[in-house]
Amino acid sequence: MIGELAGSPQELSADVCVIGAGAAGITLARQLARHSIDVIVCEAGGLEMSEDSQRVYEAETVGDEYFPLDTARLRYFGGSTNHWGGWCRPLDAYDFETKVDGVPTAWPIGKDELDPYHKQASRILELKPFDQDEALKTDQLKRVSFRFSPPVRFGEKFHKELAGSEHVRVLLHANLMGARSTDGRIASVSVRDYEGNIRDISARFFVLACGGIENSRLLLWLRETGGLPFAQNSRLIGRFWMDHPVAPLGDVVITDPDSFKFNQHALDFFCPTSKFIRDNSTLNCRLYLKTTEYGGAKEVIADLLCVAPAFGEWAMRQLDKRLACVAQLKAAWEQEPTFYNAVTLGDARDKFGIPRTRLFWSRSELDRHTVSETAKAFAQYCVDQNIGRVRLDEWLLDSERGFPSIMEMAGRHHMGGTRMAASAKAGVVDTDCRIFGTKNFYVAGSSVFPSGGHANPTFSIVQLSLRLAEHLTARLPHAS
Amino acid sequence: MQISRRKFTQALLCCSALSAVPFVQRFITVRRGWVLRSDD
Repeated sequence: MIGELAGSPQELSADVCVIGAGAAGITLARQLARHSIDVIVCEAGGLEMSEDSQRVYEAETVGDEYFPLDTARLRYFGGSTNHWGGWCRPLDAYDFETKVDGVPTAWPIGKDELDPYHKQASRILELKPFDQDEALKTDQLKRVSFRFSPPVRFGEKFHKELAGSEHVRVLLHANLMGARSTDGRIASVSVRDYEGNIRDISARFFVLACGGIENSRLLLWLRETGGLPFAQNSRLIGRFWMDHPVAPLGDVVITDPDSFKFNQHALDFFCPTSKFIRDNSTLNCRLYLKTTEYGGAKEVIADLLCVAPAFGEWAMRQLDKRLACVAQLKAAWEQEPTFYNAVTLGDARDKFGIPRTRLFWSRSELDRHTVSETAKAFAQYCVDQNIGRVRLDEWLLDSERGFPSIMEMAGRHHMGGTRMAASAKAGVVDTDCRIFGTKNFYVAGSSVFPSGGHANPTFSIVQLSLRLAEHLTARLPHAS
Repeated sequence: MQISRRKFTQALLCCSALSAVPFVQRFITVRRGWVLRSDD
């Protein structure tokens, strides 16, 4: 059932209490309910976007320019799937490993731990089967593909199922305020609506699934208010926060269109191979080409004419015969996980008296190195294969220059902050996504990612939630 | 013909935006950001 917190009984208990109803929380609740496990889902917003709820996401950003955090995510039923673009791809196997010495990108689990949930995640997100990555005539790059969810809006798609479920109770406008714990266990959490109605919820297991920033903020708040007295190494909460930096890189005059495979969105994708990453000490990166309209293509080739008259004239003739085209070259890439990029608690407080987020985000020299080396490799590949010519933006060619002042910044893919690790020395949650030092408190979502590869995170979020559901089901003996 | 990535990178990094930089058997040059073959 789905209902307002104010209309719920004073005494609330369940097998599992999930805090947050986005991709992670809804996937988890649905999967647990299939096994006859009683779940309470606390959604801080309502069924529609509201100013009251969204305003809680107002925050301070420090460091490199970043999006206003109350526009980069959504705080109502369905979470940020209410505005996501639907891009899906699993992480690469080498995303789970160390890529550059001293840079903590390794996960304590391998891709094989998520693969068993690949098909089910694809069904949930309504994806066609993924293509295999394609080897090219170079050992530096490969062609990759994405699948596009319609996109699935989790709140809309699963509303009817959850409303009719005898095992799931969704509480709307239920904002986490605090936790009561004893002997390493969370005994209950306290939630409050905007009118001041308060309920305590007891459960055997609690899962925080509020997104890649809010998970950290709420854990920091619980730590500050004594709700996490037993959590180990809690100094890492909020740390190693990441996004996928995004930037335009230049233009490509494509003189052999048969060498490119533009999809239904006029996009083609290239990534570095694991050999390239190893040889060049980079992280992972996605280059994407989007074809340019004829008028824009002529302008780009006109610029090429100035520096390579013979080739440029030929390319212009090919363009007029539709035997050449032009594409914009862009990149979204893996960000270096660093201790300094972090969600912390700011001085300002939200409507409930909880400190607002202060996010420090900056791109590192390794972030710059990753994108510039990958872009150069692609330019070289085009020349080597004589399939096109690339114009790279100047900041990629001059190591003294910083990132361009006008760029898209990032993908709004909030990752890290409660990173998964093999031990409490290196992370916040263990390989089961349980907070180190606690017996029954888990985290779901991309905040557990130790590193983010280049793939958009939703597919992996759904895989991890299905995996967590299996873990919890095994610990509830009455589950069917 | 392949060239080493290291040499390619060095050439790119040391070029100025307006000058042509032929290198490694005159195979690749960079002119105003364009990565070209030297016979382009």
